[in-house]
Amino acid sequence: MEALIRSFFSVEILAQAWPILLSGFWMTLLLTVVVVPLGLAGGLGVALLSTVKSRVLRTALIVYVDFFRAFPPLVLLMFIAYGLPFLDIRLGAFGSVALSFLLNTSSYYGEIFRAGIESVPRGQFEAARTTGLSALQTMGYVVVPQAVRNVVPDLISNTLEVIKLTSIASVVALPELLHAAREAQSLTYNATPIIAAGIVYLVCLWPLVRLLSRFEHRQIALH
Amino acid sequence: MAQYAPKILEGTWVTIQLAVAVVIAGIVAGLFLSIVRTFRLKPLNFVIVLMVDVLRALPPLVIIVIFYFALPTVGIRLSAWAATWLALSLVLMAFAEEIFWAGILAVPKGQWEAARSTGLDFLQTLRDVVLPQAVRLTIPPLTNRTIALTKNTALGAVIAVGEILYQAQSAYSFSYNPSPLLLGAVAYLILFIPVVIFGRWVETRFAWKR
Repeated sequence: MEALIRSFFSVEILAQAWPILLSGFWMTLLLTVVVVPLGLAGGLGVALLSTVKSRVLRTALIVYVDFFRAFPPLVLLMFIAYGLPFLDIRLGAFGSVALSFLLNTSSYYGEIFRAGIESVPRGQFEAARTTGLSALQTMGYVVVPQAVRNVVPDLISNTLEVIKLTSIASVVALPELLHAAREAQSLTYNATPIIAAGIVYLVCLWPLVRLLSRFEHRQIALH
Repeated sequence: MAQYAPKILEGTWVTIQLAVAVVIAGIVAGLFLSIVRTFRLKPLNFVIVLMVDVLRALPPLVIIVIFYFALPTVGIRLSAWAATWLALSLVLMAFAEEIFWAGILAVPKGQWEAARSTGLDFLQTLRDVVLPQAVRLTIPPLTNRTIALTKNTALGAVIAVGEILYQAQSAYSFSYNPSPLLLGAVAYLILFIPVVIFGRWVETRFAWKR
């Protein structure tokens, strides 16, 4: 038990590692506030474009979505971070993470928004148009607000996954929480920083998990 | 490019093995936990819910790193493959348990009561009446989760599991040439595009009305 406390929950080590962990936490937070809105906007764009009555455009979007959903996010990130520089496209660690997340998460968010838009009855669209609203106004004021409300649980669920996914940025040496923890661990030869990082993720994300669990039960119960 | 193909192929095989092992272990364990939960033993259910919540709140990569780098300091040594397999299986178990449990709850109470009144015991009711109905409801969400999780096998590359990404990455850093990365990406596409399309099909085939 003492050995466990010494290697996992050492207060001295934590005091040493704290500044690194804290800066890692801020980087994770920064990544989250950049990457989540980007993905949401991209996804909404994908979903809106796929309502346009053009077979070519719609097929292109399905290919886009399936293509980026087939790639593990880490593979996409590696490809962008290490492959693109050969084409003289240098984005840096943060830029690579942002771009790979935009491509990956906009596909997932796009699918969710599309399902939401499809769940709004056609009559809503027609009724809005007959009142004189343009197609764009109809989307903006009538369809999208209802669509979003119908898919809130899925949006939260995906956002949780995206926040958790920011941990892969550690692989391209972006100093976010996991990277900071690994660095602190190799400096102190002690696992406490990793455990501490785990606890930070847990404390921040647990409320979201609880909320989702509630939504999911209701969703399946109403199938 | 051809010189890297054998390595990538080797990695593809490891990816497939890892993914299959994760899917089987995760779903079986998740189903088991959800069945245990139907006995409604308070302390046991509390432990299950706690475990599931923790596994859903932690990023899979963090769990892998803890298993591989933190556990050895208390004398538990897992190989890279085992650490990745265990971490991903536990995560899938957590998601599967939640989904199965929601499915079991969705079966109307009358089904339980009617089955019990025909003389079936608790386990027979669960196995022959409730689970078949519950599992059907859970197919679309479970398929999506499972597909998303199998792609996480790429995280094993971080601790040097010899799957596709790791092979591609090490060939890349050895040769300083991007073609292994490209080849690895193609291997993933060949492997996962059919899986994604299958997921799409399942979603429409078993769609629930909202």
